Amino acid sequence: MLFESSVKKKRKRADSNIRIDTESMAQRVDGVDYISQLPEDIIHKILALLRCNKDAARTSILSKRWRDIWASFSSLVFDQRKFLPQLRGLKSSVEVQTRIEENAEMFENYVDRTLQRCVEQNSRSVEKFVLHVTYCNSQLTTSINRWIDMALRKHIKELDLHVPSHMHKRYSLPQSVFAARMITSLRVNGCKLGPCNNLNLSNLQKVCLAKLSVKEQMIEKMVHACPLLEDFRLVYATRLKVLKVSNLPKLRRVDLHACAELNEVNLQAPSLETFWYVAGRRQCKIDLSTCNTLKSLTLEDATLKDESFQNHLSCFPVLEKLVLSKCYALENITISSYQLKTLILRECKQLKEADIDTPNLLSLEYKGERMMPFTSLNPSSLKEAKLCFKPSKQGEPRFHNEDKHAPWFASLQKFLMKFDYSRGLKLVVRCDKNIVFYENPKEIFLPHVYDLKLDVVKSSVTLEDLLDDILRTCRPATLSSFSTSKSSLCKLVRKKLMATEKDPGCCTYNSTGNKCWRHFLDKVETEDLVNGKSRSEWIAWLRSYKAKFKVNCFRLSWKPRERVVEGQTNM
Amino acid sequence: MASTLKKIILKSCDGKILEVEEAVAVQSQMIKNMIEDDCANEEIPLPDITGEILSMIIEYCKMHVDGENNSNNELIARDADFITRVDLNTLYYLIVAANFLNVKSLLDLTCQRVADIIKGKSPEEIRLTFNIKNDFTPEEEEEIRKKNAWAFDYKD
Repeated sequence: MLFESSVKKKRKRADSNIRIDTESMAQRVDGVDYISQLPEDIIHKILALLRCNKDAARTSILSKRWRDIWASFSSLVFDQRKFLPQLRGLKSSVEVQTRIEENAEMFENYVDRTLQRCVEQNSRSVEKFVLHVTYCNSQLTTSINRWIDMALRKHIKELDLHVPSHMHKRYSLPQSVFAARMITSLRVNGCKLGPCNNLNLSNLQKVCLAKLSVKEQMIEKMVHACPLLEDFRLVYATRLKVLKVSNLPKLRRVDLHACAELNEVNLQAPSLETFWYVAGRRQCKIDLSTCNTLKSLTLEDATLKDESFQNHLSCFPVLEKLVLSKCYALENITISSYQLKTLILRECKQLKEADIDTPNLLSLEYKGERMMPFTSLNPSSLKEAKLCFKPSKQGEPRFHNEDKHAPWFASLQKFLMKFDYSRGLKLVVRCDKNIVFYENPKEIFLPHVYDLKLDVVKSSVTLEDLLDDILRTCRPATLSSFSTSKSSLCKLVRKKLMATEKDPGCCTYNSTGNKCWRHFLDKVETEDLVNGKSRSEWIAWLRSYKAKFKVNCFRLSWKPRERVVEGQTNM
Repeated sequence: MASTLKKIILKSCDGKILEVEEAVAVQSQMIKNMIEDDCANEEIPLPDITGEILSMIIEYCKMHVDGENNSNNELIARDADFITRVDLNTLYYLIVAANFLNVKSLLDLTCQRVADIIKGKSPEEIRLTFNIKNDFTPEEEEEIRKKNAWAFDYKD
């Protein structure tokens, strides 16, 4: 579109005489930034022609577009998953095998060619090398070693290798990687680290080791040899039992994700800001007592007891974000902090009461059964909240008209009323595929169902963004609004949905299963709450509030996925 | 001989009709492909190229066909003369058109021209030259400067 309008401008001053006099050449006709509109591959070409790679790297600071272009120019990303063979229609296993081999060869040739060309271009600097293969045999092992060597010769700064083990054989990382002093970021997934006697990664800042076995010794060496380490992550690392880290003054983040054997963690990191722990198979003793700069703590540990949680918490006076997920052993906890801004409690099933005193909390998320361990919290400072109640058993009756449940819903309504909606907060109530928007609520009523999601959305999110998000994520059956004056949702639904064209011009290059909601929306109808014949409990519930609010309800129908796929193949 | 005199008719987006000798037109790989596929017998509409830009491209292609017998140095000198006459906006349209028509030598020449203009300039000078709007916050800018500190060291 941009191009079209500039063409029009151009046309006005179109001149049959192609000889432009030298004077006007120096002047720019208008203040439009044309060059940034060039396609990315053309700008890559220009960067490659700069010869001096410092000149090319400096363009990264011009603007966001140029920063992104530089990032893609200086990254070499090879992902075998994008070379997956098309096996449909092949009859024999021999044919399948042949096709797989052909594809593997295609991938190898592509990587070889691209890397070779890149190594030959002296001007071209490579910052990042990413290789993701889907399997590894001995032939590919030789190739991977060669590719890594070629990449290292370009003095890459980031190396990201994903090589799954094949028939219990693991690809062994070449020793040259451990001697690559230029590397600042190393991600290794699925490989074997092997003995590395010449560890010299003195510039390493980020390391992520996933799905591999590591020994204590290796970590010790790494901690010793990499004084600049800022970010350290272990994901599904086996064998490691004890993790001790000290003397890393710059260490900011440590993630330990389901490392099966881990039973002792001791971090002495004076700058640690983020700690993310997901328990492995063993009970683990974690000592972070000296990390008093911690700002963000995430714990997912079924064995964590009240007392040790309180002990942890007392060490972190400046904690801003706390996430407790699936901590099944927690029952009664106290969280008292002036610093805490974000609190997330997710599926801590036994948690009966959390005594929360956090006057500066901005964001709350809770996911659980029919419990409300946050009643002591005063939500007036909150700018957003997500509350999700799911029944513990499948098949529990959805609507509860019995009196014994009424107090619970009443206290939840009371809690929701304490938010300050006058600041533009929005409240969305979801029950399965039914959605209600409260517009500037003065009173709140909830349907008595046990499958309830309540979102208090911050004021910076517009109603349109919110609607887009809901359509994208849940494909609702009904969209309703409770308002006291004119409803903005209705206007939006009429504008956006009722006018949806038959053929939305988006997602051209996405596969049929991967297209956005617009391709699946069949029709939108206004539900008549006065004369309508619908017998659904949901509609009946909406109808019962007609005296209190202006209630509007739209019914949405969606095409099943198969039909859309069919339509595509017919074309 | 007859085939070299065959004319190809090109129509620009602003309605200008230009007749070009086939030998000149086939400098464009796109048109060459069309001729080979026998799709170039009627006028070829070029939706994104103005008459002005099209005339310049034809001038450039003619220069290369006529200069086939000249020495390489002479051709380089002519290229340089051609490209330095072009202002920045025109340069942009030439790149877009050369890319569309797939005139490789012109695409190389125009991209090299942009590279030459960028070469050795500070980011501020480049922004000024091409009207590039800096949409970073000072913190973001500092972050990138730090990350690529080696490139901002002007000493060597």
